[in-house]
Amino acid sequence: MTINQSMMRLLCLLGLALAVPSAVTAQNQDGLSLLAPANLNKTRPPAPFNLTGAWSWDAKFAGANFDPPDSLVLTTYGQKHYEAAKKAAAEGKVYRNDIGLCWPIGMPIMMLRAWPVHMIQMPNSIYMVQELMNEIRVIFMDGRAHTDPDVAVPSWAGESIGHWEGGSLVIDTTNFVDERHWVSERRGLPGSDQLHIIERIKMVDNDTLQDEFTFEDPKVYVGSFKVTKQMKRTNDRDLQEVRCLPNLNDHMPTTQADDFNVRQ
Amino acid sequence: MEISRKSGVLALLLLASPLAFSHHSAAGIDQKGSVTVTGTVKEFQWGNPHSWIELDVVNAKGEAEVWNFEMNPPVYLVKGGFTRSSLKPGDKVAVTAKPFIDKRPGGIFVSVVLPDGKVLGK
Repeated sequence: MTINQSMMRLLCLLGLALAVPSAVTAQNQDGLSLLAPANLNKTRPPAPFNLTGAWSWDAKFAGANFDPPDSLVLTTYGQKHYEAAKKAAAEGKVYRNDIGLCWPIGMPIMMLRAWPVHMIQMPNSIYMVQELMNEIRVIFMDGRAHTDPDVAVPSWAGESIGHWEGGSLVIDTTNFVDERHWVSERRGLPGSDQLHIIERIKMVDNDTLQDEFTFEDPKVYVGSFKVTKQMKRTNDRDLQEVRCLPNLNDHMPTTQADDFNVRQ
Repeated sequence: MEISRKSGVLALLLLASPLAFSHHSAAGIDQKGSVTVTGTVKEFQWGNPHSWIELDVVNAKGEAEVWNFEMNPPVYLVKGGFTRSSLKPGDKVAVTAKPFIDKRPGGIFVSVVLPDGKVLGK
């Protein structure tokens, strides 16, 4: 191969690299993944606080649900789910019991089960694992932008991009799945592929974090609504394997009975 | 007397804590009700996110029924005195549970009286 042929091949490869997305998750400006040493060890300002630890929903501060306000104006799509959930609840049934049937929990409900969320804060990211179903959420904080929705693989946890703003951690989450995903199961409020969540997390004290969620989902409702929750440090729980396995519901009478669940 | 007092305390504890550790909703359960059935352990599963008991029961009509009781995960059950070997197939026990509104065989586990009279719960 001559030098010219090598150059041509290199130029072709470069052209391909520019024209075709190289990954289904966004990469940072240098094309580096989170755990690449050159990304991880880059010099950064110190973080205002460190979330590393296990955190559990504080029931004394607020309930576990992400119920929308009664004033929320639903779209036709949102109204259909809301009415069906209301009817099911009146009959003592569960509308579209997807989480019970082992579909992923996802955001935002994964933040607020009674099982702890185990958080590990790195210099350029935060890894959050909800112990129930071991669901993982990665907060990218290395300056990258959201992945093009036309390329991103939709997920239940969504794609979370975080940054520090004053003394708060601000997390922007998009790129969600469009089906079997809920913001409030009992109110029949789905999370669509247009769901967009902004969280502002601050430390109330060393053992208490506050997470203010702002939800937008133009497919389901008009405008936005906010819900604020708190979590407490849990110092006596290590992460265990917790899976929703195919045989689980054979032994769970509350999910095995079809007439208790209104399914799609 | 001792057994009923303990059961009462356990029931109160369970009423005070929502079923939020569960992987699903508890619709269809009579949260204020209580049912106690005696039978033979068919299976005791020690696991996450739920443990469970399958109990062979002979009902009032003399028919065989299998009752399924949903239980907390081991991280909670150990606080109620349970270990993985607390129940074995063939053990004759009395299980107290929150029943289904429509009386189907099963419920949310509250406590169990073991063959030796010991009570375990939570």
